[in-house]
Amino acid sequence: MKTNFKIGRLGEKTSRWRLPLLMLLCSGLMAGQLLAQSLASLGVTVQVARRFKIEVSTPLVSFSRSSSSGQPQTIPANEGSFELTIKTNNDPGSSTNVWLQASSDLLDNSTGYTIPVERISWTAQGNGFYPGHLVKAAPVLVARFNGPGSFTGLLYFFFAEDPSLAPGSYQTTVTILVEGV
Amino acid sequence: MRIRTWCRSQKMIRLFWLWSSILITSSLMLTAGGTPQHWSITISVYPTAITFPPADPDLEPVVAANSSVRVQITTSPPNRRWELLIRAEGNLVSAGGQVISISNISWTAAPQPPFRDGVLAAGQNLVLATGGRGKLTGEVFFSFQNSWSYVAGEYTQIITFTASLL
Repeated sequence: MKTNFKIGRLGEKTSRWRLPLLMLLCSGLMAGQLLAQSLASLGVTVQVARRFKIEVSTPLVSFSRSSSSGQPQTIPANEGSFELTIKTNNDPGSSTNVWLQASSDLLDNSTGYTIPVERISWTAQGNGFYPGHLVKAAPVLVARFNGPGSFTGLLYFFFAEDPSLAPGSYQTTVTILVEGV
Repeated sequence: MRIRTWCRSQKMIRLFWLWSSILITSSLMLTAGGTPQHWSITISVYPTAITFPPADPDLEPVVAANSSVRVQITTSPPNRRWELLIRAEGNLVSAGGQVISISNISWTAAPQPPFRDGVLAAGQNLVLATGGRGKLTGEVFFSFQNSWSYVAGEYTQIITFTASLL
């Protein structure tokens, strides 16, 4: 009976040690796991440059007077609509202005005859696009946008024909200007 | 006589438990202390900074970083399994306060496995590599989704790599 009792006490002692030992072992393992970790950092920089881009559906717009009715008439461009796209990453609080600037009046190089460039006009479709007519040596506003993005409009060009104009091949160059404000 | 012998053996057992406890405790303290000599993992990243140069979004809709990133993992013991996480600490932010979502940065990595491809997410730990064992060097190629909608500026963020023993 005594022996059994003592063994019982021995068992108690053993269990008293077992718990803290287990705790120590577990905490040791956890500490080991926590320490078994390593960190590293990487700095990332993205550079975005300020850009403006012009895209056009055609580099040439032409008008043909096939027959004269004897009366002034408006002739649409042979190419139909002229698609103009402006892409920019301008600041949200800033505007982007688009201008058309004719370099000169329409000129027939073979005869030297000219037609005022103001006879060319356009209508516009698309948010921010405006109608107007060309002016010699002066830019004309055709579109205005705010902030970054891609903006597309359709321009329909017309030529105000007059029967008094001499037949010939007249041409000029129009420059599209984009300005961030 | 039997009782004396038994008492002696009791003392021996107690002493043994005390000694072994001290031994184990000191061993654990050593492990948990300054130098984890048995379980350790080290990560090194080179370079420590990358840049995505400016580019026309039409010509370069996806911009590659100026350099790939070499990630080296070393473990002790050498055959221990590990896991590597990658976390963007936030979105890309410019000095002017403009923000570009960090999810526009993705990566491809080699070798696969243990490395895997992915897309960054702000403040989220993502698995870059798992199932690796021992020392290994991987290479990560970061890409940036370009767009006209980004306002001009210089955007920055920190990416954290966390290597853990499994």
